[in-house]
Amino acid sequence: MTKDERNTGNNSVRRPDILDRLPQSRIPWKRSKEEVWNSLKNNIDEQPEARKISFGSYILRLSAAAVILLLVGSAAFMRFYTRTVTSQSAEVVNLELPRGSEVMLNAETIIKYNPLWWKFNRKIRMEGEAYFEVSKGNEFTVISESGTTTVLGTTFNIYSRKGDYEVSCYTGKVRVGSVNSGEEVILEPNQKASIDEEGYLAVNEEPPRSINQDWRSGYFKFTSMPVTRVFDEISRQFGFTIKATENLDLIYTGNFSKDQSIEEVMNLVCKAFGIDFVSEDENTYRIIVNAN
Amino acid sequence: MTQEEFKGLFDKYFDSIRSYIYYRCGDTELATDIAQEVFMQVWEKQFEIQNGKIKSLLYKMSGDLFISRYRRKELEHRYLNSIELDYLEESPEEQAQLKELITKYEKSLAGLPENQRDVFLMSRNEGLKYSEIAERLNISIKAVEKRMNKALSYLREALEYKG
Repeated sequence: MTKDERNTGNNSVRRPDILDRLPQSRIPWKRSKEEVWNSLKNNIDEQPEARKISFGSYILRLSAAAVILLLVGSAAFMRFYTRTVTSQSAEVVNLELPRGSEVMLNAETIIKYNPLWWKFNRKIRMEGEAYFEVSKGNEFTVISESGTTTVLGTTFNIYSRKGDYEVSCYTGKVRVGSVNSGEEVILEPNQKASIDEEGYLAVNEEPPRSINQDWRSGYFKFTSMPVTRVFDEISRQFGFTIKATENLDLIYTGNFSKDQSIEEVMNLVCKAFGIDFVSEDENTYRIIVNAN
Repeated sequence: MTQEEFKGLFDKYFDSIRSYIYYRCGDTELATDIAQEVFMQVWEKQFEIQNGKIKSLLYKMSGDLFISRYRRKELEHRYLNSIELDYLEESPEEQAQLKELITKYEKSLAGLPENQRDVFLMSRNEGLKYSEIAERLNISIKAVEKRMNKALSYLREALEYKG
């Protein structure tokens, strides 16, 4: 370190120095400028030109998110909003469906559908008994535990209780399908389809019925019907509990009207089989079967 | 910024940007990566091109990126041993002597403080005027002169020693 006396101030001007003995130099790049450009170009090709405008501002982004959230939220609400209508015992409920169709629910019946999603999902869930009057061109499907009925513009009645499923077609056509067997049938007016416990479909002809011969006017007609089902109907229509202690393996044919008192109706049915009933309390009857 | 404008910017400045980073770190790959990333950012952020301003912005961006990257790299190889360069062949020196001189030179460059080395090499390798260097690095011409003088005296001393 003996050459400390160099004056740094002058050197930049003169440069008569050792550095001049060095040849010109370059940086030994491993990648050429073109290579770098090509890999950059791949990336910028994916870049949308409109980027700067579209999601530039925070507010815009925030409001886009809010709009999406709102859309998803309201779609979910529309999709899952369910209207449920139930009828109690001894009650008949009238109800209007979307697009002007009407339903009449017999006692103890439940119906569910998504009114706000009706455009996309025309399905109604129903258990109990209901009469449908469908306005023209309005197509939908009624789903119950063991059967589905697709409306093709018409009036019809569905009975779906305790595994029994019966559809009566009054006017127009309906398609009835069995949930368990997958069988399908198209019903014409005055035909009745029933699905048995194994899921098999049967179609029977029915005499034409007017409204005053059916539950809608408080008239109940039974043809070869298990008596337990008759008692069930009576208890529904009058809001009573009817207890049958044993399995009653009896078949009943006859009718009753809601204009009658429950006592009259019970008498009518029981007399036919020689069985008896006693009043257990205000709203309960017990069936008594005599040993002989 | 259209693709053509971007390409123009790249053609004009890419070389000097990555050289600048190389002068600071002596690692060609790191310098290339950083320069590439700087241009990617320029495209993504869609800077308005106002000539003059963009130039010093590019240096600023690459310098910042280098510092954040270098902190990581620094741990891997702590010491910068030499700044490697390729040399053009015409030289009055004899091969053996020249080789020795070059080795010394490259080692000495590595021994320079970063802010002297980049100024010195921008001037020497790229032939930039002090005023141009000052503009790019956004420092005063006086500062450039000062760093140049320090670098020169250090290098001369290092090369002449025993040489």
